[in-house]
Amino acid sequence: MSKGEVRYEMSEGIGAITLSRPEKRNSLTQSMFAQLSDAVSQVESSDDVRVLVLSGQKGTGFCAGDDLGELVAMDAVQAREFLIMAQGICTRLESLPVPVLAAVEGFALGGGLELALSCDLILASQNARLGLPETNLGIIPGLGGCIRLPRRVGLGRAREMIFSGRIVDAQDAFAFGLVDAVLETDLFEDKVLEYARMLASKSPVSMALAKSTLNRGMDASLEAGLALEREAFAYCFTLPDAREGITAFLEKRKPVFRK
Amino acid sequence: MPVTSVRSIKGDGWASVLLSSRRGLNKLGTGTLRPLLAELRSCLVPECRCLAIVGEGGSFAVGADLREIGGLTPTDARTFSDLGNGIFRLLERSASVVVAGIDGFCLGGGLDLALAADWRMASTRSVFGHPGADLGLITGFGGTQRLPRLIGQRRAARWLLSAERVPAGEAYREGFLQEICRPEQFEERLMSRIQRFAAMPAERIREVKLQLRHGSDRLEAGR
Repeated sequence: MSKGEVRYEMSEGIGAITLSRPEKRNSLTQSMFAQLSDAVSQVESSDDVRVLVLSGQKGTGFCAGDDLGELVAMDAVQAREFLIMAQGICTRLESLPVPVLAAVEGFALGGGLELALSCDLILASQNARLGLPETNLGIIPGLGGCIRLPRRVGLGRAREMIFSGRIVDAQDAFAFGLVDAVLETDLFEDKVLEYARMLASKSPVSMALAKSTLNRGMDASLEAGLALEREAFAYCFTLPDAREGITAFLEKRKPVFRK
Repeated sequence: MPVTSVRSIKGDGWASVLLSSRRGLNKLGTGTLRPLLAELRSCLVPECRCLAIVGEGGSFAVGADLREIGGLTPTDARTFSDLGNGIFRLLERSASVVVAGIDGFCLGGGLDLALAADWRMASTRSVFGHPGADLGLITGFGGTQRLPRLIGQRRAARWLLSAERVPAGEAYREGFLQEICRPEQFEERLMSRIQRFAAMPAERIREVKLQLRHGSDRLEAGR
């Protein structure tokens, strides 16, 4: 069992982590979290990755959540340990210096949606279904759902989704900002790749600094956030990307950013 | 190099600051930001209940002057960022309702300027975006902080990471704009909006702005 349920590949600057446990809609076991952790480590230590895409194996949905068989056997102490480990992985995804795309086809439920919420952008196929149904099980979201969902969609929407445990379709999710784009189901892989390539062509410096300034700034006061931004902006002028980007613009050509 | 010029028109309880340049692409370089700051200071008298900032000739503002930006050292960049942030802070803390009147391109630093306004209205032909990711930069004028506070972190991440051009209709749906109108109605609608704000009692404007500013950062402190 275990190995090979989380695959990692990299080509042309685009890293891809694929969840693959099709018989259980890619629901996450502790062993899969360990494999996911290894995959994230590979991205962290790579100099070549410029965008990371997280998806479920084609045709099997994104991820139906945590494996309930394992979850039901836990006591409070084990549940806490499990969450410390699993939340840590979500935080590491969020802290990567490259943009991370969640490519959600089919179900993204519970821990699956929380994993997607740890990504910078969520691209959904037309057949995507998203929800945090934990309250139907006598538990609450534990991988950051209560914290990240309201930051993304506002407290009111987050309350409604979490209290009701309702599953929303791609169009609804797009309408209130939970997903960033709805892409044709048949062309989903290609469209996601196209978006990933577009981001891979951007300045890695801009990506890393915009991402960290956005994320850190939201937890700070406006004044503290503006100070973070100013220092990050000034730091751009110590690196070659700004020279290349501005020169290319003035010469009316496409910039070439290296990593 | 033609600099974007700044002038103002003053009315009863309101003032309008106009940016204009020869080719219609208003740029927010140091040579424009300094007179803009001076003009704003002269307009923001206690009687001014509504201050509008308007770009003429097809753009609100297209951002910094890249010829200037290209030569900055990190220390210059910090000073440049402080100059912009000083203007935006002045607008946010003023006792006037600040209206950004946008008819055309609103990009980069221009977008940041619009973000510091209380009310953003635009014509349907306007286009929004933050091109920093194509320039090897991030914005230094507050966009990474004010944009997610306004439209949410996820949407802000898309605008800032992808450097996409966002059309006015989408900017309205995503909550960036409070008001949108056809280009031929733009001036009339803007003027009527300015006059409506100018007719509001000054103390009410001051109170609402204060509460919004403090409440948005901290719930407990804002109560």
